[in-house]
Amino acid sequence: MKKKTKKPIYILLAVFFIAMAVMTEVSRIINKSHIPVVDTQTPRRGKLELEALGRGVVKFGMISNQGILEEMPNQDLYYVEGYFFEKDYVANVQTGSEILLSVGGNELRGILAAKMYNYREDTTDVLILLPEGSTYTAGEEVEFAAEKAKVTYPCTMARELVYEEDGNTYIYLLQERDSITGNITIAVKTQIHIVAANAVAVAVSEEFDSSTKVISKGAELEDGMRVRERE
Amino acid sequence: MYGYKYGKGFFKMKKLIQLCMVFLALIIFAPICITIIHSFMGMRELELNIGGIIGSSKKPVAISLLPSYPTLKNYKELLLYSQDFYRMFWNSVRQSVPAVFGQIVVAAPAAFVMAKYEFRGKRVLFWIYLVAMLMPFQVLMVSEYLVLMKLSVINTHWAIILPAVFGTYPVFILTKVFLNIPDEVMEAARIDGAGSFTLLRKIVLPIGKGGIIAVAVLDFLECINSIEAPLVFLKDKSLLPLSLFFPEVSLYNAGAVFAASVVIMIPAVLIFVLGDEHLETGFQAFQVKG
Repeated sequence: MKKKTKKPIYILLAVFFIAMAVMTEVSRIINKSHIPVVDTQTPRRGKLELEALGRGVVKFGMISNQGILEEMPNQDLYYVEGYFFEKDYVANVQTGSEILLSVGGNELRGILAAKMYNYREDTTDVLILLPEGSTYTAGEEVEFAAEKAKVTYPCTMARELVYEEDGNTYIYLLQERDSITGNITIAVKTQIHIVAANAVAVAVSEEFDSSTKVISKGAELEDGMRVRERE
Repeated sequence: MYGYKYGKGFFKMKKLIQLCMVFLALIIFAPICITIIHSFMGMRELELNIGGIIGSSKKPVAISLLPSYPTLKNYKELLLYSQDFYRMFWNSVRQSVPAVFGQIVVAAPAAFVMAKYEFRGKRVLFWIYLVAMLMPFQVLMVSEYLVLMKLSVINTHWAIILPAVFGTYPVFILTKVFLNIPDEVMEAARIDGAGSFTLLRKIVLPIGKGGIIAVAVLDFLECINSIEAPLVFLKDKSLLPLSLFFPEVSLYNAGAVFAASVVIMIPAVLIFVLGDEHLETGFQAFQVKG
């Protein structure tokens, strides 16, 4: 009598272990074949070459570390005083950055010495040191236009990583969930704010650390979707 | 007959006690029910119910008796996509089965000697067993770690199996079980020419089968639920058992955690059901002499 009642339990236990063995294999196959394999890139501090965004005039004088003291003729120092009408453009440009200028048709590389937000004009006034050794017209005001600028941003990434949707920009971050399934990796849709962009790269205002992995385009992604990183 | 011996008050009191017992049983059973019910809930419903505990929500905790929108998504996620779940499950099996088997192989002869032989220092030895059994894991942890390190088995399955095999608790229980075996039976076998090994094999083990199974069931449940030893002795994540499957419960994975709890419950319950009668006889034997 007792054996009869216990038999189903033995069968259930055996079925459970067999099912677990089978499911282990099934899970392995599913994980291998149904989860998209993705490549990733890491956002990093980098230089972006950007289009022209400001204008100014060449001046001649003396500049101290604190800024312009006063205009002093006969001093061997040329600089450009001007403004960037795209204030966001210079928001992340640090003083000391290299800026490409076009002065009188010649391309030059200047150094951003100072910048200050102009509330009245809603622009950013800047002061750019011109390199020594070139010929400028001393004292004469010359209009310039910065055609391209190579600016260092704390966080840049390839343009191909960015998705646009309803006027917003997103990237998919590869995140590891160290919980129920230990090491699963998922794609997490994350909104970003672009502060500068060119044809191949964008700079974003968000700060991602060096361990952040952005998923490259390729697979069709959804927020929270399981993915596998290519080894 | 009862009416003569016990008054109406007795039966009223008995019913009251029974009601209290039912109430207590419900309280004990509630977490199991909650686990099963929540394993069928989606993330949104879980957020509504228990978001106050594991999520950022400050809503009060609500317990539902049934899921509003039952879903098998959690089970699908767990059983189809969680390879680690299976890896850890088989790790648990690899660690628990040899540990339980080894415990019985080591503990049964030791308990037999303790129960049926007289020798110098037996009481002291038994006392040492008793003290060692009462020691919490934290006390022995460092010394065990050092021994296992000397044996070069740290970060292997053996680091979990070996300390369990030489545990004192099964010896203590089996000693109490074997003490119940009448000495006359042993004497008769000895007269018939049985040696110590034959006595153990032919008399003690068959008679004490209930106690041995009881010990095996309890050991299995202890091994499979063990948390501290794997945490201390295993560093490689690929060796961790199922008991460490829930390192971080968040709202995102709560459903799968509930589902995993239900799946893990199955073998434990089945093994318990298989050994329940023996557990009773084991405990009875323990009570008589203990």
